[in-house]
Amino acid sequence: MAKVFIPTPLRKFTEKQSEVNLDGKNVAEILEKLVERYPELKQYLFTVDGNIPPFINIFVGEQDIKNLQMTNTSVKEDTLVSIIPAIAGGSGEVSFSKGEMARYDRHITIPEFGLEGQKKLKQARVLVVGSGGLGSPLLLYLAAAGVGNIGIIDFDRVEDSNLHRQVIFGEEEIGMAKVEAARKRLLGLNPYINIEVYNERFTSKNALELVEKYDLVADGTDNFPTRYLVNDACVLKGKTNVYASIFQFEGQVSVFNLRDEHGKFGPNYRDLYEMPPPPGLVPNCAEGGVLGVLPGIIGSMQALEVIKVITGVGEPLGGKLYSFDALSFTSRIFTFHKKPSNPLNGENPIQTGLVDYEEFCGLPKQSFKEITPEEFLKLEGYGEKFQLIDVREPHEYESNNLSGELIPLGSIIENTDLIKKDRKVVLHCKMGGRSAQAIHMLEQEYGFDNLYNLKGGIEAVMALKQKEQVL
Amino acid sequence: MKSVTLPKYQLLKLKEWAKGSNEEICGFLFGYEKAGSSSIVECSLVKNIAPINRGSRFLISPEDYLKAEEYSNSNSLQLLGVFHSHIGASPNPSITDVQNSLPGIFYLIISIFENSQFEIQTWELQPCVKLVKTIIN
Repeated sequence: MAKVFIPTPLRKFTEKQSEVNLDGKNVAEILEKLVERYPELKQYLFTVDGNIPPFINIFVGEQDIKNLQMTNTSVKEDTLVSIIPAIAGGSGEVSFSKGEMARYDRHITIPEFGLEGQKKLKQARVLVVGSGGLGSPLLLYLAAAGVGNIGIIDFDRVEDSNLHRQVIFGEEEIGMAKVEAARKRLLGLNPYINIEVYNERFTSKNALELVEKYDLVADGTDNFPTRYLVNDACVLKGKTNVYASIFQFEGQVSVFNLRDEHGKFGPNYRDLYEMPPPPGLVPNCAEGGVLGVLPGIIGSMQALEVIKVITGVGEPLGGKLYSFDALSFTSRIFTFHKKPSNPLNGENPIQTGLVDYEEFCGLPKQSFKEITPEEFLKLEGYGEKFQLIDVREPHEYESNNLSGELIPLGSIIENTDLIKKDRKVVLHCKMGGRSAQAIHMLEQEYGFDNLYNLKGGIEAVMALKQKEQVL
Repeated sequence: MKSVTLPKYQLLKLKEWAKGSNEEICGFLFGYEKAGSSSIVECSLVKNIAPINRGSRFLISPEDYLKAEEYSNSNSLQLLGVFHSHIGASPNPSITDVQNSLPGIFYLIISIFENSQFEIQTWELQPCVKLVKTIIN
C-alpha cells in the first residue's frame, strides 16, 4: 500500500487524516482511489478535464512527478505520494521602491508617459533574439528604461571583431558567452529588473515555447532563416515582433503583427517579403561588413518602438517599414499591407507550424555523397576500386548480399579501423537509411570524406539487376 | 469573527524581513488552535521563487512547503497559515491572492509603505474571503 500525504489545507476533506494508505500501481490510480474515498477533494485535485490543476504538485518520494512519468509514475508498496499545494499570491500591484522612483523620474515626469507608462514597462516581458550589433543598444536602452523582464537568447561568444559595434561588451568579455556578458552588464546598469538568458540557438524546436513566455519579441538577428523563424513563431503565438535589420550603410525598422485597438493583428514580415532572397544575394554582417555606428542608431530606434508598443504611447511602425540610408542621411517610410497570399494568416493559410528555415532560405542541407544503383553496377565491372560495406544485421546479410564487408550499424564505431581511407568506400543497407546514418556519424565524428551512400540500398540494386535480366 | 493571536516579537520579525526586502517576503505561520481561536508561536521565512515580478508576486517552492509540514509535525505545532507582504499596497487580499488561496489555512498579509508604516490583515477562504481578527500581544 502506498502512503498518500495530505497537506494541512486539504485535511478538512479527509476527516483530518494527514496520511491515507491506498492501493494502486501508479499515481493516477492512487489519486482516483483517494477522491473515491473523499469526494470533496476532487475539486482541488482535478480540473474539469480530469488533469491535475497547476496549483497542485504531486511528489513521489522527493521527486516532482513532472520530472518523472507524470501520473503514470509507478508506485511501490512503501512509496510516499505527497500532495503539495502551490502557495502563491501577491498584491499584483506594480509598485516602485524609492530607488526606482528616483531612477525613472525623468520618464515619469513626461505627461504622456507618467507613472502608468513606467508601470507597463515594469510588468512587460520582452524576448530579445540576438545580443549582437542591434541587440547591444536595444538591450541597454530597454534595461535602462526599466523593462521589468528581459529574456535574451544567443548562442555566440564575444569576439574581438564584435566590439566595434556591439557596445554592450568590453574587452574583458572576449571569449565569454554573449548572454552571460550581457546579463552582467545590464544588471550593473539596472538592478531593478529581471534578466533571463538562454545560451542556445533560436530554432524551430525552442521558438514557440520561448515566444509564448513573453509579451513581445525584438528581433536583432542577422540572417534570413532566423528572421523568418522569429516572424512565424510570433504570428503563430499572436505576439508583436519589433524588427530591425542593417546592411553596410542601410538600416530598416518595422513593427510586425501589431495588435490594433480591436485586437486585430497588423501585417508581418511575410506580407513584406513572402519569400527569402536567393541564398548569397544578401550577405550578413560577417560577410558584407557593417559600419559600426549604424546598428547603434537602428537598434536604438528598435528600442524606441518596443517601448512605444509596451506603453501605448505614440504610433508604432505597424504596417510601415522605416528605412535609413546613412550615406545620404535620408529616411523613408514605406507602407505595406496584409497580403491575401500570406502563408501564415492570409486568405488560405497553408502553414500551421514552423518549418525548416535553413531549407526554406535555400541554404545547403548537410549532405553526403551518393551513388545510384546504376553507377554502382557500372563500377562493379571495370571501374575504380572501392570498398563495399554492408551495415545491415548478420541475418539480413545471410539471406542476400552484394559481397561487401559486414559491419552492422551498431558496431561501426568500434570498427572504424576496418574502413579504408585510401580509396572510395560505398556503404549500403537495405534501403539506404541506416547507411546514411552511418556516414553521417563517420563524417561528423571521425572526419571521413571518402564515403558514398548507395541510394536505395541492396533492394534497389537487386531490382535493377532483375530488370536488366528481363531485358 | 475568528481571531488569531500574533506575539509582538513575531510581528517585529515580520516587519524586519519586510523592511529588508524589495521583493514580497513569504513564509509559514506555526502555532496551535483552541476553541476557534488560533495562536501563532512561530513565523518562518522562506524564499520567494516567483519567476517574475517578485515585487508584487510570491510563490513558495513545493520543497519548502513539505519542510514546513515536516517541521510542524516534528515540533507538535500546527501549520496555521502563510504570510506574505504587499509593497505599497493595502493588506487586503488581492485578486491574485484570492485566485491562489486554499481553504483550511490563514493568510496573513503585512503591508509596508514608503514611510515605513505597516498594516496587517489576516483572512481565510471559507469558502469566500472572511477576515480574521489579528490580536497582537
